[in-house]
Amino acid sequence: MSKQASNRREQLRRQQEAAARAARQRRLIGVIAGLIALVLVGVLVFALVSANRGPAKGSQVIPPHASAAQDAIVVAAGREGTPTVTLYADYQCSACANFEQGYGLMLENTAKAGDWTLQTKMLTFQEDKLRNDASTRAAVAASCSDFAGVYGAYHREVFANQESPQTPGSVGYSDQLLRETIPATVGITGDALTAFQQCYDGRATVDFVEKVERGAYNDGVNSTPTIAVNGKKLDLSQATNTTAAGIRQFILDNA
Amino acid sequence: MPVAATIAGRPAREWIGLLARLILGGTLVIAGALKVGELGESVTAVRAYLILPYELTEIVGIALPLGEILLGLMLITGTFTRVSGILGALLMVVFTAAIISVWARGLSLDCGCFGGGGEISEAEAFAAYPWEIARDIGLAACGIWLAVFPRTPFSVDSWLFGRPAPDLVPFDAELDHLAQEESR
Repeated sequence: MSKQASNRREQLRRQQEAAARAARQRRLIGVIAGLIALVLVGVLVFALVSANRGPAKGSQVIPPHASAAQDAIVVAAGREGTPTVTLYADYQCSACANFEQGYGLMLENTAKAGDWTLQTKMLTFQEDKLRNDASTRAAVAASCSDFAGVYGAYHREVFANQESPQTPGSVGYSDQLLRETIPATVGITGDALTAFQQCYDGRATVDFVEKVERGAYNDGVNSTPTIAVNGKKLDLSQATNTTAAGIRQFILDNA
Repeated sequence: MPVAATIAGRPAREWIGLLARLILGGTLVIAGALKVGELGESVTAVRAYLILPYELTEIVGIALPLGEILLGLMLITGTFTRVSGILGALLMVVFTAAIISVWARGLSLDCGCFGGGGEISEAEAFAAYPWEIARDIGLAACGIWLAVFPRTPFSVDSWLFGRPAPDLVPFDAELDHLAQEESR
């Protein structure tokens, strides 16, 4: 074999290797660019979803009867030294509506009698399942009603108007129901009605509602309705007497 | 000398790898696709586990379905198979740990693996947990297999890192020509 041919062969081999390396690099860059493009699409989707969670909101206020931690609304305060009962619920949870119907007045009346402090933490996770925003709108409306001093009545009236059955994709509570019908039923009129409607329309308590949600998460509550006494969750299925009086006693026994 | 079993000219482990890619990748794509249209529900499902700080739940709830789809596509196409196999296995280990955690705390959850999520009846949840853990361990095994044997047929990897591309054929032809000249 001549030296010239050998050199030519070596040269070709190097060229071939260099071309293979270059081609491999091009392919690698192409694939990595494709993956980066997919990640960027993901980041864009993430940014859009995060930015579009709920319509615009106005300046924010805290309901006058918010708890000290500003993550609950105190329906009625008991005498000093009495336990604090917390109700975790969602206005679109059907079990919560049943619970409210059975025990809502008992909870409030016992608090008004001074035997415990009743506070509510209204969550909004049901709306993700129902694909609407009615849990948040109802929680905003109810917390706005606290400025008119009728939170307890408004809260009960929302549950009394819960759709049955609730179907994913439905509007849930309508704006008209929350800003006109229920206020009229619970006696919000005149200037108080104007203020209430401004509060609702501007979603003035939506940050508070979000804070309640965060607080409930930190309390370890992931389902509704849940009752806690002095921060300890109660297993109501352990109650042998499920009448309102029986549940009242069960709560007091566990305080 | 022991001879490894071959199927269609390739070692059996490469075909097992292809199967592992399709099982793990396919499951991830389906799981991600079922959740990606309902990201709010996905966030709620993550919150139901009560594991992460509240601030992280939204990020994870949104990023998880998107990440699952991306990782699943990488596995199905055999792109960076070793890395995606390791990531897939790690994801399954995390899912398994999360299910063991809720089980140990007595929470009764729909795992939300394929959409849905949130609290369900204790009987339903406690009956499902062992199967969910077994499934995730099986999927983790697919990922570990790919981490150990990343070479598989029909993969982007073999196109990326495998034999020289067809555009190198002219060189081969020239080498043949050279050889012919030499032999004269």
